[in-house]
Amino acid sequence: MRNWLTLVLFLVAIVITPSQSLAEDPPITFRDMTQASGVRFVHTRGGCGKYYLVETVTAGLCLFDYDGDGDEDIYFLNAAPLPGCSFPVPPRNCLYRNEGGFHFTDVTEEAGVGDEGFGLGVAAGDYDNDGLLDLYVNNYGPNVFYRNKGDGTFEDVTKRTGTANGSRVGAGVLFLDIDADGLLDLYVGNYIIFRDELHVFHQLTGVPVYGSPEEYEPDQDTLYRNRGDGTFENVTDSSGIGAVRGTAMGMVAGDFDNDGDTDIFVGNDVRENFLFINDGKGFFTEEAVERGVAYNGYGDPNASMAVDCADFNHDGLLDLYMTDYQSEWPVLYQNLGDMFEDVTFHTGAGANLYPYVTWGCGFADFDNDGDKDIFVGVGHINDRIEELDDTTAYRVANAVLRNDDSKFRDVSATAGDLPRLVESTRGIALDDLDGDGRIDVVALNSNAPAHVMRNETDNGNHWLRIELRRPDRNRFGVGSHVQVTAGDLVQYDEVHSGRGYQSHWGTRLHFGLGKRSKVDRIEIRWHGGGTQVVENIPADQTVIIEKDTGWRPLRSP
Amino acid sequence: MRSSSPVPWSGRVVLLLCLLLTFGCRPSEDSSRGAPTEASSRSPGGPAQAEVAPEKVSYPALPQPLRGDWMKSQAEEEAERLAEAFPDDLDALDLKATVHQLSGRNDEAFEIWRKCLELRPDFLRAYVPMIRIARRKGDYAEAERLCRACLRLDPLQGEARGLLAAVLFERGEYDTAIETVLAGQALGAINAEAIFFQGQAYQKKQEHEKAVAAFRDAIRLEPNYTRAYYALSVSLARLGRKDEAAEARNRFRDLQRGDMAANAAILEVESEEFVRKTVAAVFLRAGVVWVDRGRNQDAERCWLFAAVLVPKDSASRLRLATLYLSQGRLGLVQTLLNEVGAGELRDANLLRARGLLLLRTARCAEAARDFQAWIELAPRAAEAYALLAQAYLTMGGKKAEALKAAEAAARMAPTSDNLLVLAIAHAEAGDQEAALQISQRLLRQTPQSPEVHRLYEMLRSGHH
Repeated sequence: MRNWLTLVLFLVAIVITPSQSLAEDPPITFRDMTQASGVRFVHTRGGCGKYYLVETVTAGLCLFDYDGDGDEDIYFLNAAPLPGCSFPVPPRNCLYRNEGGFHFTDVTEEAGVGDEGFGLGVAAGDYDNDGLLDLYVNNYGPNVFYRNKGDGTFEDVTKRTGTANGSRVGAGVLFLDIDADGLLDLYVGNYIIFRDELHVFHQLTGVPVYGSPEEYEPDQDTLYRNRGDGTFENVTDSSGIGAVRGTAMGMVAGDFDNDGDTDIFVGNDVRENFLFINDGKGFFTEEAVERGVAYNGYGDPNASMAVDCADFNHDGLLDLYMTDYQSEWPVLYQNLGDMFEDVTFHTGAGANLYPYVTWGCGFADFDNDGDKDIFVGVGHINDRIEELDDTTAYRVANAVLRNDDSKFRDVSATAGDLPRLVESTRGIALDDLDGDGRIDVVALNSNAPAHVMRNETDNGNHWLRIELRRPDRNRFGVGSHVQVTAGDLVQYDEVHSGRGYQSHWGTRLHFGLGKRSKVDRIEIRWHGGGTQVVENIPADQTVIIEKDTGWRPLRSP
Repeated sequence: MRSSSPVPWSGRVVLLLCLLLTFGCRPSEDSSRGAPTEASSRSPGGPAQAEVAPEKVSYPALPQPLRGDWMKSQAEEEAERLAEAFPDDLDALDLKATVHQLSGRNDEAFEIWRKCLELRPDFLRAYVPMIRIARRKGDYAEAERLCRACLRLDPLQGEARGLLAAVLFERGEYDTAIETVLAGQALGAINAEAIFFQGQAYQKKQEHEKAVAAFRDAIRLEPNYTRAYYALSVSLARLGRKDEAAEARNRFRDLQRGDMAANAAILEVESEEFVRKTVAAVFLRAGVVWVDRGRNQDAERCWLFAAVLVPKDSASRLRLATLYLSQGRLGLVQTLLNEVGAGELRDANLLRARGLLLLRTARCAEAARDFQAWIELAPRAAEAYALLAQAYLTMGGKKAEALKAAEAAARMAPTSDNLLVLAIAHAEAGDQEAALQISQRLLRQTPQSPEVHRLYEMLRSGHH
């Protein structure tokens, strides 16, 4: 009798454990810290009722440690007044210095980075190998390159570097080392060929709406090669990048074919995406169709918005996640090695997002359980869309999709303050802003105040952050591969510069470790050559791994 | 036994078939001109009627500038007017729901269609738009429920099966998606979209041989199925069949370039133009609902509005012409036919309508051209052959062609109407014996038909 009872209880336990386990996992929780943080940034889209297409696609943001104090500062892009529009206070980009304890101070003025151009995309990278992160801003109009002087200020080196890129409609930006010479080159996305006078005002049954990129000619992106003397050379055509024209929006660079060099994925709006495969010497061949990432799994060219990459399923290959328009599923492309497969449906990576326009996106391990979750910024392009279509909305809460064994679940509803922060988000950026080992979120909202959200997920999981450092060139190890092993958990990531929706974050890599309190082994495949292994690193800290030296804590205890 | 008939057969046949083959038009109840007169409807139009002078059509004036929101409000008011006049009428409710959906009020549209299903659970027309709304809102459970309810009522409903396959596939339920398509195929439901999603499901299950077969099946059904070529190229690549994959990929790219060009062309059309056409389509449908319920004046008002909104629209003008013909207003019919012009129509319904109108206004050669064009579009349309035979009979001098067309109609569909035409064609061709035999057969088939009795008597008197 007792045996039977034991068996029954055992079976019951088997049946109920998985769901109970999921239900009992502490929820991913975000707390709105906007007011408390001191961040007062309000985005302005630059329009005044004329509905220029560029109004609705601005802008991205950047999380980077500009002052080298070990925490991430925030740089927001802003639009500029479009023809016929004026604002009492001209909109400008803003830099907020992280003071620690989730407090930020507006240092735009003193840092000298308050560009008043029409901001679209941004990335940070150390182009001159002085150990300081510089900023490149991609505008509608001439772009701006800010060199970090190391004293809390920046200087405009656009002219000196030769990287203004004419007066085009920008998109995302990437710093990457195309030819492994240790110098960061610059990939500048261009959206469409547009000038103010080409604008056509559209309305539908009396409701003004934004036009479509299909109404305009696509543009070439621009690739600048870093000469190493403080100047750049435009190698768009000679590098193969200029062979195609697209409508670039979000983009990310990574070693997608796992051959040791850096490739480039560009999401194009309502056109086929580009996957530029690098031959290792800085010449690229566009292979998106052949590799299965030009379209979604149906062969439809999506209105691609943002893209990020990570290894969501622990197979050592970089997968891609891409956001797009309403009535399109965001797409999760699983990297199979020689090609990609759209695995959105069986992974659940599009959960509940089909009715909405989706923008900024990023992979991050919000619950530190050892796999990459996904954060998605949501909101329509048209601010009066509800008058035309009640299945969607202009202002929508952002979404967080939790990864459990490579399957995603929409856990937004239980994510603390997230469901009540309803705006029309564009760029999002993900990093640990307060050094507590949990990835926080900053969202740039179109024509509205930004949101700063602290991750308060309380599950006791461990973590490790890694900053790569090289003494001489490519100082932050952009493009380097990192494999982290903690017990049975093996994770892989790569240092990117520029990602998501025309944004930048994640120069320091973050790994959740679950209940594992130490990392057994870290293997770094340095971009440009050399492999390094460090072992036995205690969890719950940020470490700096210097090439050929070893590791040390970012901050001494 | 062949002899030329003394009887004007053709006029009677035209009369008979034109009454039978109506174009959505009923005799007027509220028209000030009253019901169509015997004379006007019974005369196919001799030379005198063909010379009826065109009259000016009283199109309503439109406000200038013509604004999209004004047009939209007109459509909404018309739908509301219909729904108030016929509160439990499914066609009226269906149109109101459609207008709500076009205006972006999908929730309200959904509720109206739900009411339609409460009134009549087998009102199939409601299901597909409801499924589409549920899917668009991301409510896949509701979309699946509606698909299954629709398929229970009509397992051969191809669109619902395709949507069910899509919904199941997009929920990652690959096996169920495959099963539902196979179940449909077993019943004879062949739908390219459903088969495409079956292939997608096989592809995700890494069963690429089966996926290739499914995509090829979908392409057989829809030779320009862009998505299917893409999916085919993917599965062929996975199977290592590189040359075939490249071939499919090239075909996909060709088709996709065409799709993009078509999209660009749509974008070039001003959005107000799109609204015009959409609102005109609403008024066209509204007119049909009104006329089917005997409200000819309201129908006329709707079709006039649709016609003035889209000056090149043939459908509303042909509806109006049919209405005016039934009212004996031949001058207006001539004007509308002139406005439609002799240009090529690519729609079988419009060709049929214009052909009938031309036939009934004695423009038989033009009518014959329309019926021939209709046959080119639909080679199995028996009615088109029957009408072509009548056109030839009315024209005179085309007796052999008339007999050939009548034989084709009777062979495809040996209905009493078509046999009647055949009998007359035989008689016109001088074969009284054959004509009499057919009329005797008709007498047995439809002993109550006065037309058949009349024909039989005529043949007998002619024969004797």
